[in-house]
Amino acid sequence: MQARLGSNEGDPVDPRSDAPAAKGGPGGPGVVAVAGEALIDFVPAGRNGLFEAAPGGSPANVAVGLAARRSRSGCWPGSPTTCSATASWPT
Amino acid sequence: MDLSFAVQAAEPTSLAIVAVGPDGVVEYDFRVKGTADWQWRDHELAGALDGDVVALHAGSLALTMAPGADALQRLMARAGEAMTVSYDPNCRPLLMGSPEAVRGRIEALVGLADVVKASADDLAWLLPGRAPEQVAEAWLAKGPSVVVVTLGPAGLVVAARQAGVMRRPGRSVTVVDTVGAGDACMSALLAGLHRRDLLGASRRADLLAVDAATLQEVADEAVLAAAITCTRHGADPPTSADLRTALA
Repeated sequence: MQARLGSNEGDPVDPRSDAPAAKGGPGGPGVVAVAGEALIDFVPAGRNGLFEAAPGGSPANVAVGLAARRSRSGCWPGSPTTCSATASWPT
Repeated sequence: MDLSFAVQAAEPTSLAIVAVGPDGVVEYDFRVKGTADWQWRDHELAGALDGDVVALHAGSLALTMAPGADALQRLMARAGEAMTVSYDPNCRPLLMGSPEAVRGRIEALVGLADVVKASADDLAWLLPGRAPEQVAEAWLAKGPSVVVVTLGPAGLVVAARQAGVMRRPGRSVTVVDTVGAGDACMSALLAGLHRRDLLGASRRADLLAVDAATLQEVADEAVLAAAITCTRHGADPPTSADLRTALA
């Protein structure tokens, strides 16, 4: 899997900063590229010995975590639910 | 997330079967024979670093599984001149065989990276008998600017040239499972460095000279991101809004 994440300009973690994410806000320019595996985790679903299929793979999780840190304006693509190959990680 | 550089593969997807222990700590079993994730070829990565890329993060199983690991290692080497390189070995004894089989490769990859994150469990297997602080210092000497070793509930060790080696405490949370906690730490480290404009070739000297106060802030955000992920089912890292709420 390869993915790229946009700049996290204006990612105001600081609780004192309530400024909305904006171009030119704090943070560096550019994007972060991520390369590695994107696999399926079978995670115990907590009932009757069933498992849930969840997207996983360490690099894929890192890509998701970076995307989650983007502006609160909602660039987050939504929870992927499955992927049948490295290419088909749904957005 | 831009997935236009993802590669269409004919091989099946790798599978990991997760077992969650009573303390929320997880173990993995894998179905990875002949699956897509280890088939990287150079041409598939040719354009991966084009454009406005300031950092490459790579790691985990794909960096030790043949034959694709060699192509990804070449990508990391190529990235080194042009951007910040980040690496997480994510040791999985079940797939990596003996520590001796992968130690040389993993330490070579550490040498290609500017930011390295590993867990204490990774190191206990890869370099038994050495304290996290010792490994962090030894790995810094191989070239990285920042080395982080996660200690589970005890927080983490973070090391850099000028900042020295520091321990940062963990956060006490009710653990659902630890799936994705290390990855949440990794992404928060990178996001924190990015937010402070410390990623990219032009920022290399600043990253190398990062001060203790900055590193402490970044490390504490990473601890928080990992802790929040532990309170959730599966790999579900926090958004910026989640972190702000937790810090408020």
